[in-house]
Amino acid sequence: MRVTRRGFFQTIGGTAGAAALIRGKLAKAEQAGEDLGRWATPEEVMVPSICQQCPGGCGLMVRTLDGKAAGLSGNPLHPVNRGALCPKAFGGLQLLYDENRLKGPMARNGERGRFRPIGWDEALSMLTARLSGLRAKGLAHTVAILGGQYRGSRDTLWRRFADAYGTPNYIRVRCLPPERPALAHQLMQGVTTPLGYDLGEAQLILSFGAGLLEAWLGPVHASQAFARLRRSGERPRGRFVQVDPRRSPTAVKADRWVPIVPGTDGILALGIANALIREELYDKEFIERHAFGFEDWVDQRGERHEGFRNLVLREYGLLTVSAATGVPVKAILEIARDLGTIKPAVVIGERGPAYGPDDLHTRMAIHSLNALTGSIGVRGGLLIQGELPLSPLRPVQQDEAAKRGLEHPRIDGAGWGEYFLVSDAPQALPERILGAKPYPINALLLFATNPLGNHPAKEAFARAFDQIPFIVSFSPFLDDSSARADLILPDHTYLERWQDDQVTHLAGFTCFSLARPATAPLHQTRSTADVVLQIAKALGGSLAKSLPWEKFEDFLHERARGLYEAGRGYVVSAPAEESLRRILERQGYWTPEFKSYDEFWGALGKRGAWWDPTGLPVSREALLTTPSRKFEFYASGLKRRVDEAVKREGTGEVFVRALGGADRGDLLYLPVVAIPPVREPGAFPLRLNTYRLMSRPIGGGRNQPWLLEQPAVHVRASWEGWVEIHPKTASELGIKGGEPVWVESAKGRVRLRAKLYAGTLPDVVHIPLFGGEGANPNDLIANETDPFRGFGLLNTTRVRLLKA
Amino acid sequence: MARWGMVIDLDRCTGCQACVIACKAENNVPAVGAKEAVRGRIISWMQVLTEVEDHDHPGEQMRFVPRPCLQCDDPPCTKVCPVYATYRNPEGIVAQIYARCIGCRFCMAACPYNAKYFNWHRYQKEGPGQNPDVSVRPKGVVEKCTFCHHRLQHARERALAEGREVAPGEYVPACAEACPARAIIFGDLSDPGSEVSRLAQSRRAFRLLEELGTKPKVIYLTEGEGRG
Repeated sequence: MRVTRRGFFQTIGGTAGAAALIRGKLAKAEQAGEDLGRWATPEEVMVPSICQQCPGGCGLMVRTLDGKAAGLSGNPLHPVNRGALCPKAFGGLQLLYDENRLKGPMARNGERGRFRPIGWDEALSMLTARLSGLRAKGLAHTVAILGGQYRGSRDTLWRRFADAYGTPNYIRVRCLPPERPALAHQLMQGVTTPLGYDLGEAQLILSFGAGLLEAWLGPVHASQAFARLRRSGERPRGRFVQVDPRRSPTAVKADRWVPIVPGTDGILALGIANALIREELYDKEFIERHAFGFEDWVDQRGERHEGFRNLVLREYGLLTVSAATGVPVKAILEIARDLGTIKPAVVIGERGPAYGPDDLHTRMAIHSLNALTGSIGVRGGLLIQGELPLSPLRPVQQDEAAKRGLEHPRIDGAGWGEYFLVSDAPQALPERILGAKPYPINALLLFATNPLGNHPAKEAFARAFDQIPFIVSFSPFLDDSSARADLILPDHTYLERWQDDQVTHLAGFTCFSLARPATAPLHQTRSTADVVLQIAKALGGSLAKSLPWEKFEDFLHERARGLYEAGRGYVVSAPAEESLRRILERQGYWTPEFKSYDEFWGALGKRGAWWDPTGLPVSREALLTTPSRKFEFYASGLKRRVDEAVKREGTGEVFVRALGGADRGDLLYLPVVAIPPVREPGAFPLRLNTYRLMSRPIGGGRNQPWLLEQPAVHVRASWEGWVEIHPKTASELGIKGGEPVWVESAKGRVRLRAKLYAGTLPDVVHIPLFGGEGANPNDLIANETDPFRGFGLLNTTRVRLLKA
Repeated sequence: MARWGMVIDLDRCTGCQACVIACKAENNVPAVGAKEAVRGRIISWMQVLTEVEDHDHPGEQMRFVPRPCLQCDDPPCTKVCPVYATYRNPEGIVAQIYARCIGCRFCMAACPYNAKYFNWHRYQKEGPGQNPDVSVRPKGVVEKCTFCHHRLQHARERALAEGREVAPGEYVPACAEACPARAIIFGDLSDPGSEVSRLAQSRRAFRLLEELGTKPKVIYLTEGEGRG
């Protein structure tokens, strides 16, 4: 017999295996099998998904090995990010595999006792019983649903659920809704969808405090545009001016950083307008043909109204503006000259934290610069965003209980009184729950939000939570708010579920992203969208009829059919194919790529997005849908809203007071901001400015160590928050860099490490909204309300520093 | 033979750290934790350095400089290694063999760019979410950026299976792939037609600490006006 090497080992192995078996221990054989499994090449599949770490909505490619997520990269076909990503995206892996995720539904032992794990059937029946009980008692309106930062079909589904169930209280807790147009744009231009910013084609960008490259709408989309502005090869290097109290990384990258007294951005905009008008650098053609309220005018009753031009020339002289804003006259003039001569230019004053109590007028003043430069409806300026042609849904069926419930006013007072202009007023919510005004809340559903950790009114929310008898959380993590819940029905994280996203503010195109689960759920969690459908089914009647879908996937399937049938737009494809289609389309041809909807749906799932790159035509008329069909310096839309409020509420006094007071007369409707009187420093001599870090995902990212370890580059920090102090201010107070200090406001105090940073005005200190453990700047922020977004004013608080 | 190199355009770079975290995810680089971070032991193969003009007034002027291993053609680190754990491979990539490394950290001292990192502890175990193409480093060894060498191996295997050469753009490190501003361009410096070669000839091009004669294959382009 010939003994080969392989035969020898096989025999030995067989004997050893047999020996192991004989002794009744499978250990070795099992181990060998496991090793074999480990060394086998796993099957690699790339699954498109959508990053949910910020409202940017970048397309992801999830690398899965035998069905398990093992890496992320950008989806190269996705028009929002074209294969690139920001640092937050990679935190998604750590979020998915976080060991502290909730493993399944949890309920309490007794009245807010210890949590105990329960099964899904029990959990769902608990929730259904509670909801149907309240509904039967005619208390449907006392169920409040708090939603966080998300958009698209999950929002549609929740709204539908609320409407069918009969509660007006579907309240979104977030600074700003990215899917709605800014108020200033709504009132001055009459738009009903958000404007798109054609940053990539602009030659000059003037931004008022927008963290364009960090935490604006989508950092990846904006960074790509910035790179094009800088070096596109075909045209000269574009110019970028950043107005900001802090030398943020965005300001570092700007050609000019303009430090400004916080909250005076509107006054600076008016100063720039003054210089543009005085030097006759504004776009006369646009103003003459497409603007209303620039010159003095006479209304139908023969009353004379002062126009924007004369008002600005009279009130906002450069010396006055310079004194109020701290920006030198020379700088104002130079910015105005840049703005008047470099075309196309775009001025950004959207999003970012509120500028102050004059937020609306500040944003209107900033937006008026876009009119003065004629940047509206032109390439490289502000474009309109088309609406997605999704299939319309059948109207919600409402039974008597639902109709009765919806007759009640909203608990947060949105759309009423001082909150007349907002759709949600989370800031007012805790107080109204505590006061049971106008009625007590009997059940609270928390979806994708953590007001007890991330809201400036977190203490009031905590007290309000104590008064609510039944709180349900859908969070996948045991965060501050879920820890107070009675029932937790953990959602999947975003790599495990079906979802869509409808990104806005893009350069003139519309886009719909679709993601199927990239990996099977790791734990006993369920997609909340599916849970909503299950509850609706269990509640039966008109609810089941209004939400007839078996799974969220079916809902998405139905909605996306409209895209297939629209006769325009494409499922994203490789660049070569894409440019061919564009050439054809320019010549007037559009051909469908797919023979059936199923084929379309399959391709959408494989490539990740549908988009319509041609969208709406770029034209000025398309934008101006105001009563006068023009850009309105005198916002007659706002005047109409005030008249409406007066008619509905008698005097409308509360609303007018929030706008600035009846004594301001016409000025209420014009984009002008009153120059505030000089304030004595008092007990709290420093201004607090909080800001969002590039590395901060939605919710803070406490479970994402990579991002917490290297949160920023402009200061050296790791694993803890900090306060940025000007070296001069620090030396006056005897504070050295790296030392812990107390930052104290009228509301409370926090201990933070001092970082000396000269990129600030000396009387402003800056605290990042750092997501990790430790001091929370929300402990400092005074609970001032902002009537134009219903969220707290984050940057008006005054503080002092003490050595710790 | 290819000579892999990288051009980083500082005019485009926004200092966002996408490259830093992309690298960590790709190469199984652990977060070391707060205690170790205070001791300066953060491992960051790609790191965004800041250049400050006036040290008494940090923040008045600032520049972001992303720094991977510069893959020197004349690397000081390989010369001091007593066990040949770090060496320059024929394609110019400076490699590190963990199994051979004895943790003496001579190479760390020799590297003028601080591009090498030491594992003071066993910072992580093998776990889900890691990239199986890159080994998890044990305690006591030095690690560094490898230009995502495993991606080159993958690209080669694919090309070999299909009976062709590795196509340009087929092999790109994770940092270059993620960069939202497309500030990081990667390719073959020995191919005169490649984008990296073209940009490396730009009048804006410079190398870090050029005077040391390390001949880095990571080339920077200055900020500001100027063609190229």
